[in-house]
Amino acid sequence: METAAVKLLSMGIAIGLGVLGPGIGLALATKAIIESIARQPEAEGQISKYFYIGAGLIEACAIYALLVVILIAFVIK
Amino acid sequence: MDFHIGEHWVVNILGLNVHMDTLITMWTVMLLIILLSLIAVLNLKLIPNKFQAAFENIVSIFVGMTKNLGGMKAANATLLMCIFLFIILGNMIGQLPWKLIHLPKGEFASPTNDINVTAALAVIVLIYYIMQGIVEKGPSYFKHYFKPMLFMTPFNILEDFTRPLTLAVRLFANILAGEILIMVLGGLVFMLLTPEAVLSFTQNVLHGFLPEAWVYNIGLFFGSLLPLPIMFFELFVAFIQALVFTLLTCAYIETATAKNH
Repeated sequence: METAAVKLLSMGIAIGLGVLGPGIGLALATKAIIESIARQPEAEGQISKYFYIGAGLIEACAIYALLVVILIAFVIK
Repeated sequence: MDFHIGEHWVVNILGLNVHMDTLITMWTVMLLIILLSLIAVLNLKLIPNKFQAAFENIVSIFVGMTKNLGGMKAANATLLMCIFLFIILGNMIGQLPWKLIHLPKGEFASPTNDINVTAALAVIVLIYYIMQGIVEKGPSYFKHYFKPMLFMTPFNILEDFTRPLTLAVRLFANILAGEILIMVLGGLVFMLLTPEAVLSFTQNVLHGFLPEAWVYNIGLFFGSLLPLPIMFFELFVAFIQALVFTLLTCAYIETATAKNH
């Protein structure tokens, strides 16, 4: 295969697989926060604070995959 | 369309390669913080006005953070506050229309989309928490490398490298990804709104109801609104990433200075 074709293929695979894990993680975190708010609606402010931080940390994992894709696309010649 | 990502306006100053665009936006942020804090403390009163009250709130939030997360010294709040204010303003300043100013190469954006800035911040954090550990515990700080057992030593040493690495890359990649997203969505208009597309839309769908130039301009207007939701989301991400960086710094300092664990 040509280099360009391999690059395109690897970019697709990298972002597809890389987003899989954080997607599952974010789903679990959202499930947990909805359950805990349903159980204790008055504690929503305290709980959601930690959720946003956790979501930021989880999202960063997907961003790492995006970073690899950017590196493949623009840096590796 | 061709994108230029990670390109900077490199200027050679005294034998050092300086990213001038990052430098200018970074100093803008620092100037903003310094000026605002100076105005806030210029005439302190016992009953504060609104501006002074806002800054007192910021300080008390971070002093509270040092106490809530493990009860460390309140003096650590200065570093946390510094890092938080710099990162949040640096992330948000990228949403200003900097692209109106043309540079020889690269463009003005958030200073935090340059990995050199975030890496420097992460190294500051690394040095700070090691120094705090030594100040707090003396030479016995280095005992924690051999805990819980001896064969964990390589992992404990590796941790000192992975911590700043993840701190730097997380912030850098989040901001860069946001800027690329905005750039791609903004460039989508010019990709789809070609003269042929406008011509065929005017003739086949509108049947010449509107002149071609109007269709083009209306399309341009609505197309330029496309990155707007992402920009709002970026303001949110700016806050979250600054908070994550600060909280992780806080946790690292806390684990380094904790007395008995």
